[in-house]
Amino acid sequence: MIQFRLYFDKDAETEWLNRMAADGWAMKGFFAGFFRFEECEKGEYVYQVDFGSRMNAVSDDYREFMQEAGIEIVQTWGYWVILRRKASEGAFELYTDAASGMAYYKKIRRMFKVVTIVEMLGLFVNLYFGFVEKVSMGFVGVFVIGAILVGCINALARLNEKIRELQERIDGIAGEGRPRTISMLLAVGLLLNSCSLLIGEAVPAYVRHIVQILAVILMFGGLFGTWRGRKKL
Amino acid sequence: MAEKECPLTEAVYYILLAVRKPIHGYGIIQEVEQLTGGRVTLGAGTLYGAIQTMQKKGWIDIYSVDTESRRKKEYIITDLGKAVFETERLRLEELLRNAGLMRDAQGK
Repeated sequence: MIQFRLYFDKDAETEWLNRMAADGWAMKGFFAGFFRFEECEKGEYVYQVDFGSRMNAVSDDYREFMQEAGIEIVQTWGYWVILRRKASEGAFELYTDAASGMAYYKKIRRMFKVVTIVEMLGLFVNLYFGFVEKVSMGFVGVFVIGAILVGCINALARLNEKIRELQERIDGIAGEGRPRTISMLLAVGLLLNSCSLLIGEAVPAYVRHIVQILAVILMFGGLFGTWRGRKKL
Repeated sequence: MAEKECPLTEAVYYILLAVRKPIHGYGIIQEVEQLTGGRVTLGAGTLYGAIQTMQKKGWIDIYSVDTESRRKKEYIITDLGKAVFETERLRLEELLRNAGLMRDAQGK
C-alpha cells in the first residue's frame, strides 16, 4: 500500500507511522512524500524518526550501534533517518532526556532555517520572472513556494516552542510566549491559486473562475484564521 | 578543566559510571537500567550522541574492535573521564552534605 503525506512536523509523522503499525501496516520505504507500507502483525513495530548528520547516509558507527540495540534503519531521506524496532523488545524511544532532546530539535531547526532562506530566495526569483519577465509560470512558482513557506514557518514556530519547553525543564526558568502558527488554509489557498494559473486556458473560463474564487476564499480564510489564532493567545 | 564540565547530566554521569569497565553500547543501557532500578532508561539517540561527544572530549575511548570474531565495539573510561567523574562526585557530596541542613531544621 502506498500513501502520500507531506509532513513538516516529525513528531506528527512518527505518531502517524506508529498508528499505521498498530493497524498492521509497517512502513517500508519512502520517496518524495510517498510512504510504502507492508502488512505486519498489529503493533509489531515501533517507529522513530532521527535526524542524522549526513545527507542520505548514516555512518558505519551509527549503523552498528543501532543494530546492536535491535533497531532497524528502514530508510534515510535527506538528513532524516526512519528507524523501527520490534515492539516485543520493549519501549523504543530515541531521546530520553531534555539535553539530548534539545540538541536534536536544534539540529532540525537549523535545517528548517536553511530551507526557509532558500525558499525565500526562490520566491524572489519567481516574483522577478512573474512581474518583470511576465512569465506566468513565475506566479505559479510564487504561490507554490508561498505554501511551502507557510509550512516551514509553522515548523519553525513549533520547534521553537519545543526547544523553549526543554530549556525550561533544564534550567527551571519559565520562558514566555506561545507558538504562533499560520493557518494551513492559507497554504491550501496559495496552492489552489497556483493550480488556477497552471490550468490557464486549458479549461473553460468559468471553471478557472470557480477555482480562483475558491482560492481567494481559502486565502482570506487562512489570513482570518491566523489573525484569530493570534488574538486568542 | 573538569570543573567547567559540571554538573553532568544524569545520562552522562551514569554512562561514565558504566564504562568504568569495558562495555558495549547496548550493555550501557542495560547497566544503567539495572543501577537505577529501571528509573533511567537511556534512549538509543541519547546514548549515541553522548558517546560521540564524550569520545570527542576524550572522556571515553574505544576498548576493542574485533571485527573478525564479530565482537561488539566496547568503550572504556579515560583518565580525563575519571577526573571529570571525581569532580562531579565531590560536587554531589557537597549537595548531600548540605541536604542535612534541611533534616536538622525539620528535626527541631
